[in-house]
Amino acid sequence: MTREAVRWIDAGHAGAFRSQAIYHGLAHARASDTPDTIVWVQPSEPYVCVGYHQQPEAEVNLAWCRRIGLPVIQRETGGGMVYIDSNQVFAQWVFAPERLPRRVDQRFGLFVRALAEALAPLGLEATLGPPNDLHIGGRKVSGTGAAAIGRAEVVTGNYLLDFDYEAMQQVLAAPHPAFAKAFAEALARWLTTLRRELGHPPAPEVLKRHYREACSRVLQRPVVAGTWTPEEEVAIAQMEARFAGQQARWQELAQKPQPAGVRAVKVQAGVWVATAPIEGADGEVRWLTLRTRDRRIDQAVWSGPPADMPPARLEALGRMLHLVEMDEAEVLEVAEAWWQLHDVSRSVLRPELLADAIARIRKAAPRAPFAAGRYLPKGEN
Amino acid sequence: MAYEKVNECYIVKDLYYAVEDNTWVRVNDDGTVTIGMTDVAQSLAGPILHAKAKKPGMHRKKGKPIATVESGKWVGPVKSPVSGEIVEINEELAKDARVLNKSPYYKGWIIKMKPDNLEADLADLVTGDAAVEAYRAKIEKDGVTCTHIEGTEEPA
Repeated sequence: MTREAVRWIDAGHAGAFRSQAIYHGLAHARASDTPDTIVWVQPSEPYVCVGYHQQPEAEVNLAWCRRIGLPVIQRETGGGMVYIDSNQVFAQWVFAPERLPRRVDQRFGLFVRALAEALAPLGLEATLGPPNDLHIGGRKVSGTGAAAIGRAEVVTGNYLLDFDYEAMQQVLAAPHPAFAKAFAEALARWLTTLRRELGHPPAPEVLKRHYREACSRVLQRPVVAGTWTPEEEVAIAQMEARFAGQQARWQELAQKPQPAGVRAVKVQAGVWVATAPIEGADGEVRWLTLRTRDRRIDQAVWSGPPADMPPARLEALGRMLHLVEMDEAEVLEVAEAWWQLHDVSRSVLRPELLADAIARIRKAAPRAPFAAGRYLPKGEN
Repeated sequence: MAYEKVNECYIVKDLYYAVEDNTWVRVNDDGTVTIGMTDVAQSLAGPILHAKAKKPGMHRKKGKPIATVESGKWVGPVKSPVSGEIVEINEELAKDARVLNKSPYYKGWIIKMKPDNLEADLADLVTGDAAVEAYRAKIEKDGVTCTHIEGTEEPA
């Protein structure tokens, strides 16, 4: 294992584009003699950031972002759409590939360990929420992402000092209000912040010091303050320009109507909010929105035109589906039992339509490689 | 046997490998080559959620990306082991990218390419027992053990 020093760059506060451009630029500019680098940066303004393989028009309410002048950035790392503002701080690792674990899960494990260790002096017990989240009491408190960029391996993550749940709900592309509401409720349940855990947000300077010390311990290497080279500065500026240039594309996409299909958003590993349209026998489209955990139905909500039955009967189906596995046969069995028990056999919401909708949701919300159920929020079961 | 297993990693002997980039090449009868990622690559990446290949008709130089894959928030390129024009991509990857985990050498192929100069490019790759030995050295050096958490299709 190398004992070579890691360069620590404190980038202070940075605008939307620059806060993403720094690690991209450093990675693209990396040469064989470039030191491994950790960047600490705090965004100074809000923006939305989407993952490399995401379709921004499907994930983000681009029209709303455009209206309020919120930049949208598509990064080169993976993961999902996130709302970012000055209540978050970023740690960004730009390393030679051979100086990080080869396995992606182990690489994230190392990165998250440093994030977790920095919280211990604050009295917070944070753990890895497999495969790559940082959890406190089972709730996610940091998002991560990674990529091979140029000749570097990049791992990034943030601390949520505080979080604007309402803004996140606003920027989400939601096919109907019930989906946005379910998502907001899931966020409140499964996402936490350092303010929420401590009762106040930590001073960023204190967190920075703890994080830098934690990196040195975890990597077993000195972490020494430095800055970027003129060549790296050029690469960063190029990335800033590229991200700024993306905005014109989002303006075009904002005007395109989105097809009404299944929409699924991951809240944390194994926890999804997803919705699917169901065309009833009466030709009306209603929406089934599910919150799922570890492939089981946590909550089921209907929205759209009123069904041909009292709301209490639909609520009864929701209760019967609670904790049912998202398996087409199991769902069909439950739905048929509901038909018989509640005398709704002439309903437009036929069991097979329901089972089909859940099968479509299941496909769109793939299972987590690690069980989420082991990492329950405090007070949940 | 047509394959060997080193630390649970399958190495199919009739393929050509770019060991450092963890890609393989199969030479087809029609003059094209099929390209994919190795069992080692899928194990290092973990469960793959997205795979996006470059479009047919594109020319790619050796070492340039022919696709990107994403596993658990990590995005990485699949680098071409040969130069040529992409003539076909595996449409199944867009439907379920986990086929790359389950069957990296068969159903999980990524692209087919019409090579510019196959003979010259193959000379830089390893095959047969030499491939097994090259992988044995790499696997030991990197401390890799392959995992097949999505299940796997045993090589023929």
